[in-house]
Amino acid sequence: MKKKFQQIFYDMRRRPVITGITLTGTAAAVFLFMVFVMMQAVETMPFAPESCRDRIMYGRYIETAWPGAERMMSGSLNFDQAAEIYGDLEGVEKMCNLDGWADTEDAVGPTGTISQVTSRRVDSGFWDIFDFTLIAGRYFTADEVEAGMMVTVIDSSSARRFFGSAEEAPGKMLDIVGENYRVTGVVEDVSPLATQTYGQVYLPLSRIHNFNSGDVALLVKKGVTRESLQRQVERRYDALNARRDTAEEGIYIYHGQPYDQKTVSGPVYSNWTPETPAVDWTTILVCVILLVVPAINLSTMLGSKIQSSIAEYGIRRAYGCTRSRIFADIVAENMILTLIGGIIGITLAILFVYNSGSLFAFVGDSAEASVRPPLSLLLKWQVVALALGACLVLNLLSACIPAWKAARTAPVDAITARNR
Amino acid sequence: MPEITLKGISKVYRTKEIETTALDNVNLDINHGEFVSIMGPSGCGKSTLLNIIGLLDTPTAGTVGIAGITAAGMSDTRLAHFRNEHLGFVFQNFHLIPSLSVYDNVELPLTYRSSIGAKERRERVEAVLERLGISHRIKHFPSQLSGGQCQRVAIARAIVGKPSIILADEPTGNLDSAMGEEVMELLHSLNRDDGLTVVMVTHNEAHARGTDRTIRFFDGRIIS
Ligand SMILES: Nc1ncnc2c1ncn2[C@@H]1O[C@H](COP(=O)(O)OP(=O)(O)OP(=O)(O)O)[C@@H](O)[C@H]1O
Ligand SMILES: [Mg+2]
Repeated sequence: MKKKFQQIFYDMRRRPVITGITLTGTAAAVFLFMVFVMMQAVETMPFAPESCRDRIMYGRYIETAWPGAERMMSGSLNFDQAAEIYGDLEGVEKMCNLDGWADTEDAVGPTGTISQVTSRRVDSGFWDIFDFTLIAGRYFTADEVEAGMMVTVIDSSSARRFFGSAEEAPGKMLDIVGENYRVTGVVEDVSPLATQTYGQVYLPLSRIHNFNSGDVALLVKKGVTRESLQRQVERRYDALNARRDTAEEGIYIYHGQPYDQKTVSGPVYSNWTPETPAVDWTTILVCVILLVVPAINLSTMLGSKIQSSIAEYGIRRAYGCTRSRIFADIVAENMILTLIGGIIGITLAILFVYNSGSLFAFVGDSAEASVRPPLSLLLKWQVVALALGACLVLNLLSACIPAWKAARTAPVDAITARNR
Repeated sequence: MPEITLKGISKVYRTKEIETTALDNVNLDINHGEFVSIMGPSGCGKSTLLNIIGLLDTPTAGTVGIAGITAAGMSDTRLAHFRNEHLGFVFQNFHLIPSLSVYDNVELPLTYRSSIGAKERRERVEAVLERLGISHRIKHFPSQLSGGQCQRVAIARAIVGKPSIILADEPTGNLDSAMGEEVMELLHSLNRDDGLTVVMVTHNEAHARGTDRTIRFFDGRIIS
């Protein structure tokens, strides 16, 4: 193995131009591929506080229609509807109410600082489903929410802005649109890319102060499918409709709830059944093109590199190397080069994506012009695995044909070939 | 029984316009332990013949028998293993692998033999380099060696696997006369002391005279 590396580095030094171009080409290919993938993945990849994205589903909106009449009505769930439709579903571990929309409001701190904050209303179960990091104080409790107490959990930037530091904030009062809230705790800042949970101040969502519950979030047990929940929810709709005076109250129209992360990352309307995005062929096509095009170039380059030292492969054959081993050696050698290029590419991609937040301005409804994705998201093993996968594909695409050609060349032709 | 048996060997190269007959019905037996030289004008088919004996090339017609096997119909893998165990090659322009050190170049044939462990490989490579007097160049790369040294390394590589036959195509062609003599002396010693069969193509009458038998070629045929 050590020898293999020595040889590869010798070859790299001997042909600095080809090596340079190969590395640059590989790095560029992996860079583009990864930036593209990251832009796609940010909508569905789990990251704190939405670390359980693949197990969280949302009950959102309800539509009521009056059969035979033109009348219909749709919008947020109220607390009763939320409980009757989504409460105690089989396969659900936890449930909470939360407002799907964040608001922008004026807040005034003790020193008179006025500043706009993004607020989101949530109940106490919210803190159990989403993995926020508490850095001071505590979350507000179910009792506090039910009693309609004016309490709030704020993020650390807001804590610094209004109170100087996170440690200072708990117990202090914060004026939000004219109401005085007591801060119970401070959490680490949340990226606006966490579209379902982003906020700077979290306010209690309770029957006392709010008419609607907004949405519900369901944390389902491992292995429970969306379909099994859909079947249950649809039965709940039927059961509710059976009890309703349809002419007077209308009937509930089922729209495929609950929605998974992939669905809520797309457009969701209150009177519409959102399409569950199936296999996204456009994305796959772009990914393929992003790998195939550079692979063709790399392949040509590798081909000429091999041809220029084809005699070496003839000699190896003469001394007992088999065709398959020639093939495997070339692919393996090229893999190492591709990996080096790939590591450069993925590093650049992470740095680039991390530092150019405007890439993600399209995500969610955040008004932020620039959204820095959390580093934890970019450094996930899935991202690295995908980059390695891209390298592997790139390597196989680019190395197979030249390696096959080299392995196929008869030893005598390889040995006697003039160094072209 | 002869170690190498060529029966009715022909080799014809066909391209769109021309057909070249490199070998024309060659019959030849070479005995075990013989040192045979092949001579003839340029283009008469000497290298072609050597490559066919070395199982690097296949004849258009005829059969090749070497060390008890018949080459026809052997799979690539079996051919590779056979070459690895029985044949050693020496070329006019050395054909060392430039990215490998002297040690690694010589070790090459052994790395394709799974039956030999790392320790034994090292011992054998070191012994061969010692014998050829190039131990002090073990870490050098081919580009750092003289022509004579390169050919010694190439010979070391040819014999490290303990083959029974050495095939040498103008081994002194790129060397000055003193170096050439040294290489000839080495080949003779391998033939004499180790009992190797040596088949050598040469343009040098004097070198040919020193061998057991000289086969003369003209236009793809043996003329004497
Ligand atoms: N791959 C090939 N395609 C077409 N013709 C070939 C090929 N290889 C060899 N020849 C022809 O076959 C003939 C014999 O070639 P070969 O290399 O065996 O000659 P040689 O006796 O070794 O010559 P030299 O002394 O110059 O090395 C030549 O006419 C050569 O042009
Ligand atoms: Mg020749």
